[in-house]
Amino acid sequence: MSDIAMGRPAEPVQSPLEGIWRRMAGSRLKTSYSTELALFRSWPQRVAIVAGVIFVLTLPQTLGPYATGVATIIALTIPGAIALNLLQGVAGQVSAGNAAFLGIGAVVTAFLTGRYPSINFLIVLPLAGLVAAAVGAIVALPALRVRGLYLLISTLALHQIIVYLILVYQEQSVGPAGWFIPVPSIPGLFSIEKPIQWYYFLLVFAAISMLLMSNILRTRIGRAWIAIRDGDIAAEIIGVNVMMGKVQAFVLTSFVIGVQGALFAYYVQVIQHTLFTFDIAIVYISIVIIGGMGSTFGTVLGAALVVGLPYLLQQIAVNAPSDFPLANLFLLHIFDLQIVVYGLMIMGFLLFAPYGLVQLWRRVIGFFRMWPFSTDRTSR
Amino acid sequence: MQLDKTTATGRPLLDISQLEVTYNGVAIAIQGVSMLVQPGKVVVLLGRNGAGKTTTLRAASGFLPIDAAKITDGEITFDGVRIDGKQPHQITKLGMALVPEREKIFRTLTVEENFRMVPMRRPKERGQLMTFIRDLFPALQRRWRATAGYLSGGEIQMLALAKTLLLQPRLLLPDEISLGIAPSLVETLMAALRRINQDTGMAIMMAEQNAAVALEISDYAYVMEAGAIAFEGTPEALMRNETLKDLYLGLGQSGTYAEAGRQRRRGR
Repeated sequence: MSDIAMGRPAEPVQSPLEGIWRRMAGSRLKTSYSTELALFRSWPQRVAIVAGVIFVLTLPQTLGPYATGVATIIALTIPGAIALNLLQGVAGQVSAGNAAFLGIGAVVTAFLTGRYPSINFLIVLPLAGLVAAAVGAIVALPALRVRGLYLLISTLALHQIIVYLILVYQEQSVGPAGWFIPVPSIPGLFSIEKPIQWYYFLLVFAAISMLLMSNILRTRIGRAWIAIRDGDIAAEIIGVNVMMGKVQAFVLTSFVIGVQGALFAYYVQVIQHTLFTFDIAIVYISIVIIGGMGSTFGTVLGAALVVGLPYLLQQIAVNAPSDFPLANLFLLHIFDLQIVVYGLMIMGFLLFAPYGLVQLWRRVIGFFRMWPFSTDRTSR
Repeated sequence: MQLDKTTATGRPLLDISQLEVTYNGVAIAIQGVSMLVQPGKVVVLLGRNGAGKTTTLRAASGFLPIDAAKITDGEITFDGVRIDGKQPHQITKLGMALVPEREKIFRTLTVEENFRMVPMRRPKERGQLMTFIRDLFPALQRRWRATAGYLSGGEIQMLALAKTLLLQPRLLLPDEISLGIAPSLVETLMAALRRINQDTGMAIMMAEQNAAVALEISDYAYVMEAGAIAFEGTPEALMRNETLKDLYLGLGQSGTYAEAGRQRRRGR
């Protein structure tokens, strides 16, 4: 009832992220319908976007198979990162549940393809999303009562529960080898097998999720989420149903992550309970913080940096001259090193660029747009 | 511009009857409170801290759960509809709008964006209303693109009040809008309330400690004390009652709040 909707712990909890929302520039509302409707506001921006699209579309031809492999994983990451950014950056609900929902989507895919081997992926994807959305609706219940760190803890609990259930289910159904997922295909039309096919296939879903986010910010639902993030009392005053808004946020973002989980299952082909570690949830949180909360473009930048960085480190380690001091140590501990670098990056961004990568990008854009004036006023 | 299109029927807009509110299931905050607000009228709730003014406003607007409070007796009807037990956003949609003491604006958004966040009941009238708001608060006009969190206390009150107007309520519930505001600004805000009432026909029920300025614009007043109504009547009736003036309103001989305080201190 309403006391759930308005309920909160006796001591107001300040989320560590609240300060960022307060200064966030990511989801500025547009001031006129023309700017609202225009996806790209100035011609240099249009040129940049077109160049970016061309770069992304021709990436396999220009940068080669290794980079395509990395870009494929980035494309696979984007829907989940977008979902978390909608939940956390726009609706203000902190969550560490990404890996759990990813697991739900993957296991639903394993179940469906195991039971009905001829089932089409076009049916599996929405079903995986729907199951994850149903779980998301349940997770929304604690969000109605707690926020900030407390909510984070309850999503952490969700993660443990889901991973445990996946473990139990795996032991009872297929055993330690895990589930094998068939190749996604439409018989007679196409099947997704080669790396380059995977790249374009996943790119489609990344693009859909980006369009979803940039569009939802213009709708009444998106505005209601922003209102809830900025203050649930202020939101109720203007007639926003806070309870419904939070449930919607969890359901919709869980759906997206569920679909992403199905894509993940198809992509890796073998699903095990060990795949869904808490590290994955942390990676998604890093992407959102490093990219820029509330920003679609920032999410993409964040995903590219956070996902791409380990591969970059690996390349550096592999290509370093072997007589380079500590080179072996570097190679040996490459995974530990990644975690250290993530941690340092999150701290660095929180301290020096709290709006994320997108803020740095805006500074660059502002530099050209405001020329010859100073860029200070646009980097706000 | 007429926002209020109700009640040729003659029934009161807001009817609070024998209201009892309990905090945390144990502490009774107000008891046996009955109030009426007629359409298009300005009603003021006076009284000291803890007298039950805010509790009454929150009970009417559905915001009691903020502090784990509950209506335990009595009923509230708004334009003939029972609203006790309804959720705040439902009550807002019926046409009642609270301007609370705190947490009333979106601090990360600009002034303009704050206005744009409000979903209107009749969106076609947005332009007309915005013109009215710009005219009502020229000071806000200058801060149009400023982040709302950086506004001064007075500007925040203006923004909160103006933003609430966009909801096109039939009853406005401002909670202590003079709190912590410079005296000259208090006059501005009260003048704005009076204009809102006169130009739009919107009824107002406000909680106020600053009796002197509030009574000037009110049609009717309730004086609350320890969770009950100690006195009710027209402002003229209140001003004639010397005991009341001294005890509850802080309006001694001089007639102003500050003067009364000074006299009290001198008397000691």
